[in-house]
Amino acid sequence: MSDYSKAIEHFNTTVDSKANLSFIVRDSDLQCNALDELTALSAEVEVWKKQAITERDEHHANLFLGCECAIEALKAELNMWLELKEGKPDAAWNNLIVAQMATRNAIRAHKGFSHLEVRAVRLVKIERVVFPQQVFFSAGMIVGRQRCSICGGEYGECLHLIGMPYMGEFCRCLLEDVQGDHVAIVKEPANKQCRVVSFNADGGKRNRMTWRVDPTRIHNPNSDEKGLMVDGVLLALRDIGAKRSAQ
Amino acid sequence: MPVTQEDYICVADRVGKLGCHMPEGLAVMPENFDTAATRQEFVVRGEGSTIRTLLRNKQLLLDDFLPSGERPRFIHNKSHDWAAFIFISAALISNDPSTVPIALGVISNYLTDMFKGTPDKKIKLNIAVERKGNGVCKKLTYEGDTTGLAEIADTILRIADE
Repeated sequence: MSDYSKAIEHFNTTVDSKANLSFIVRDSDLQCNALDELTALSAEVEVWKKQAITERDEHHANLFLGCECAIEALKAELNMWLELKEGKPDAAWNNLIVAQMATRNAIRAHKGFSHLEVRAVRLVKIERVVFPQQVFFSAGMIVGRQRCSICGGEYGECLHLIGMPYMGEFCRCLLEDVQGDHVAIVKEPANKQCRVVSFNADGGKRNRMTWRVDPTRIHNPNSDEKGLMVDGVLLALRDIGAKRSAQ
Repeated sequence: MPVTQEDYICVADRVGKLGCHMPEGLAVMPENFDTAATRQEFVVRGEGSTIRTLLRNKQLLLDDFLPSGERPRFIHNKSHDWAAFIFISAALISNDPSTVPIALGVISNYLTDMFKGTPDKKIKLNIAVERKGNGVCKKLTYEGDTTGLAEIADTILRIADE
């Protein structure tokens, strides 16, 4: 089996130095440079993970899966601060949510990332302090068949569990024969990117994030528009650490 | 403890009416078990499949309501709330009561791992408990954190004995 000690040291040094830039007041050029370096590091991690998988070294494959998630989280966090400084709060929100999900994934990928629980709490605090309260959607679906992303078998009949890492990949439940059932407004959606983006108000449509009113109203030709008209995201598909086919 | 209880239909009667199989141990409960007109209408929460795997991986017996070869449809709510519905038979509680805390512990441990990094995470587990002797059923609802789930076994066993 390969010795990854120098690779891991390189990862830790790089990520620690870039995490130091994850504050809104840090210089934007430095943050952009950090994004480039993290992208390069991600490519290195992918090579290490492939090597570990080739050697059937599940411990390191899952460790590098955690590395990928940690890099994804940090990149999303840096992008969030950059977008806030550029006056793009909707995009910043999406990156905050990616950062939260990627951090949780890293923690689940390998016990070596348990220290990121502190970072997960920090991201929840950022959500509450930096952004206004959002209104979230949850879609309900009736599903004819569930397939395991790891083995391809029927989910629930194999050994794999949703959200757990197996040889460098998270198990996902792939849904087949899907019918929409309902959409609900919920406090805790699976993905906080699913939310009301804007709604009709006096003088146009109001952006739920900025509170600014755009004169273009939301119009749906299939609706009598007697109720509240909203623009929103009902489903967001983003799986970090999943096989491409599972996305 | 965040547990509530209410009366539930007699599971054995409903099983007979719909031509189902009566579970002798633990089973994943269809969400609409009490209202479905036929067993072909059964809908199980997607989380039920995870419970199947969890218990089977620990060599715990998991039974089915549907006859062999039949399968339910599943409902997936893209809500972060984790929720499931299980049945615990009187036969299991009479013959092997230690299975109840073990099963709850297995589910609790998985959920604790699953939701690391999600502060204040709340989950929900509905449990239909068949009482020993008269077959009357009670429905318990646990809504709380992931670790507290493992502590409700005593409540389940007490209700089964009432």
